[in-house]
This record gives sequence, structure tokens and C-alpha cells, in this order.
Amino acid sequence: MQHPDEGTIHSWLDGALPPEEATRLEAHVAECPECASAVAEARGFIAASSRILTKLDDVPSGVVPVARPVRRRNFAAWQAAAAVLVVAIGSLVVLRDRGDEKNAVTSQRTAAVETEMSDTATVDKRFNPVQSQAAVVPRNTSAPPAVANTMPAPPRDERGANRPATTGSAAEVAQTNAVAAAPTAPAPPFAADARAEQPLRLVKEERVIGGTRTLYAVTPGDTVTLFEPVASQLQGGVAADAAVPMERSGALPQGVNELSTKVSSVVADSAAVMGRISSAPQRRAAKSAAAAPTPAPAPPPTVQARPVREITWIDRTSGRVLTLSGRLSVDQLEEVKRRIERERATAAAAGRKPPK
Amino acid sequence: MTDVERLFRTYNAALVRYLTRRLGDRDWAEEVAQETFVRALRQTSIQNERAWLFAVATNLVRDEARKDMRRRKHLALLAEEERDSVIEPEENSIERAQEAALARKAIDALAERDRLALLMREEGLDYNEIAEALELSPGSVGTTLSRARRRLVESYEALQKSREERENNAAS
Repeated sequence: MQHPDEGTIHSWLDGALPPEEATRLEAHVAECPECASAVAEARGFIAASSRILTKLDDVPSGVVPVARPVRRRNFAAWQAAAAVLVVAIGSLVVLRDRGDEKNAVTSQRTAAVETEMSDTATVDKRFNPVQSQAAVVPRNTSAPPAVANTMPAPPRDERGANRPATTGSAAEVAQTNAVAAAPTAPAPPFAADARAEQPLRLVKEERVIGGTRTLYAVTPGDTVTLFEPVASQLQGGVAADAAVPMERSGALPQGVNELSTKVSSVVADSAAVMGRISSAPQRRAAKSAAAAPTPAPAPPPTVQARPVREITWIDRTSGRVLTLSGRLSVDQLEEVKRRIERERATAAAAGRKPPK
Repeated sequence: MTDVERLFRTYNAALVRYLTRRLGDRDWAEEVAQETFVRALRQTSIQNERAWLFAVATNLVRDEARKDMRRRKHLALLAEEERDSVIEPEENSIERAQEAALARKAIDALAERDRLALLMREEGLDYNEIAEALELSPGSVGTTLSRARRRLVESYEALQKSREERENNAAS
């Protein structure tokens, strides 16, 4: 080999030359100043280009807005469907006992959950309060009917040619929520401080099918909703014919750590639960979904209302699965949750019945 | 652990970084990465996994690029305005952003194939994998990479120089 060309030198430096050729080249370079300096230059280019490419890693999200895809198959779809299930656990009794009211109940729940679903995938370590992101809204066509009817997805005009088929008014409600969920000015830090000062004000408390719903005003005009399912029906009495077998639903609270509030972990557990309900193809997908929970959302292009988010946890005393939803960031919701718990603990300690 | 889970744990980080560098947007990169793994679900078996994953991801990017460029740019502008109106960047991040912009311009100066080959090499793909992913002959990978590296570095340095000149002129 006389004077290797640049490509060969790079191959050698990348370790891609067959051993014999490499040895020959090395020997040549040792004796040839020209080639030695060519090798030095190549080394310089390799190192410099690595450095330059590293600068590309420091990129914020949301540089190129992505319209939400229509069909998020598998992973995100099942995470989200599972999230719906988690919340719907409380209304499973309703599904069983009041079949014809199925849609009415779950639609009002999933309207709230729908937007949570869309954020589920993002609400994890990547959650950045500065850039609120509404995420993927999946379309799950084969989930249990009550759930499926309420999970449409907006058109994905940027990322694909797929178009959704929305079904029913509940679906439209959910879709409106999903579409309206958009990034705006981040959940403003100043507002968070304001919220910290003000006491939680109980606005309204109402019995709904499946449990109790309580509205708190965090700041005037800003409310969050706490949903408490009725305890006895949650743990026991889940119908054998219902989607979720009893030991599975019993496993849910145990599976979710006490006071675990990370939505993504709830979702991961629920993905396993959801897998049971589904038909065969989705079962496979659900397993993979539980296996690889990847958030893959992106903010939609329009900027309107703040998205509704939701956190779910097990109440320490009652063991119930509580849900708190509102137009706040997850961190802010968690803060509200802490305050609710504190107030309840105080009231309980004072010997009164805890304010609901 | 399922196969795809293993694939994910092994390759997701590299794939996302590759895509972030190629696309300039992390969300978009993560989305393409996820779609790639979704497609892996459909495969009964994959011979060279890394090459396959990068090839699929690259093809997805290619398909994306055919979509409406103008609209995306418009939306990118909107996103940028929105971001700028909200965030106060600090000193470091301005500088980092400037460097990132230069790097972006420099890498855009490469031919697509050279760019992709280089980005894959940065993620540790060997010459055979790169050849397979990009449908090149293995013998031509070295030349491709040498050309890409040289061009990237020279472009970057030229851009840096002209920015410095502008700043000096502005100052004086």
C-alpha cells in the first residue's frame, strides 16, 4: 500500500480495516511523514466533528410542533387506555350494575381522563413545567366499549395521513378536551406561589355514581376536582363477568405503592391490567406497552386553554384510589394533594369527621 | 423481558440522540423512535438489530421530510415565538443555543447520506451496520465518513469565523 487515501485512513482509525491491511498501513505511516500528517489531520477531523455534533444534543423540545397523531398504536395507546382504566376502576361497579348508564358515567369521567391520557405519556421525568405539553391522544378501537367510545383522536396532519373516526357525543367532548389541551405559557411560576399562600377552599361537594366528587378552589377561578370512589364496591364485588378479574383489581392498589403519585407508574401497572381485558392482538401490545413506556407526545400547534391533568394515588387511611384533576401542572396538583391530606389529617385529629 | 423491551433498553437512548441530532427536536425524535420500536414489534426476528432500527428510523425521517415543509416551518416559527415570549434565557444557554445553531447550519451543509452515516457512526454503528442501514457498500463507508467529517468541521469553522467577524465589525 502506498499512501492510503483519506477514506482508508478513516477506516483504519475507526477500526474497520481488516487486520492485515491495518498492519500494513500502520507500518507505512510510521515511515511516511506525509501520511503521518494526513493521519493527524484525520484524527483532528474525527475529534472535532464529534465535538460539534455534541452541540446538537442540547435542543429543547417543541422546536417543531407536531400535530397529535391519530393512531398511537400499542405503547402509548395502551398506556393511556390503562390510565383510563385506573380511573375507571372506581366506576367498574357502575359498568356492572348499570349497564345502560355506562356511557353516561364513563363519558363524564373519561372527558376528564381523556386529557389526562393525552398527558400521561409526558408526565414522567421529562415533564417540564416550563413547556406544558399536550401529548398523544390514542385511539383505542378495541377496548371495552364504554371506554372505547370516548377515545377519539384529532387528525394527524403533520405526521401521517391517518384520520380519526370520532364516535358519539362523548367522543366529541373528549376530543374537544384533547384538542383544546395545548401548550401555553407554562403553568406560571408566579401563580404557583399565589396558590401556595391561599388556603384551599371547598367549593362544592357532590355525590356521583361511584363515589364523591369534591371541587376545591385553589385560587379564585382555578378549581381542582377530587374524586373518591365508594370504598366497599371498589375492593370487593367486582363482577366476574366484568373486564377485570377480582384478584387483578385487588392487585391494583397493592401494585401501586401507597401514595404513589407518579402517573406513569400507575399507567405502567394498569397497562398490565389492561392487557387482560383486551383481545389477543392488543394483549401482546399491552405487554410491550408495559415493557416499554415511552412518552412520545408533542405539543399541538394551537395555543388555547391549559390542559387538564390528573394524578392518582392510594389514600393512606381509606385505601381508596383517589383522583385529583385540574388545569394545573402535575407538580401543582401534587401540592394541592398534600394540602388536602394535611387538612384532612388535621380535621381527623381534631376528632371531627374529615371534611370531604 | 420481551424482545422489544430488550431492544428498547439497549438502543433507545442512542436512537433518540441520533434522531435529535438529525431532526433538531427532541419530541419529534422521541416520537420517531417510538414508532421505530412499534415496527420492531411486527418483526418475528431481526438479524442485525442495531442496523435495522437505525434503518427504519432513517426511513421514517425520510418519509417525514416529504411532508409539507412550509407549514412545518410556519409552525416552528410560532412555537419559537411562543417559547421566546415565555422563557428568559440565561447567559450560558444563549451561548449554547448559538453554538447549537452553528452546529445545525454546519450539519445541514452535508449531503443527506453523509450526514446520516456520520450520525450513525457517532452512535457506535460499525461500518457494516452503516452500510446495511444506508444501503451502501461497506467499502464506501470510510470515504463517506471522511468526507462528512471534513465538511462538517470546515463548515463549522467557517461559520464561526464569519460570526466573529460580524461581531467584531459590530463592535467597532
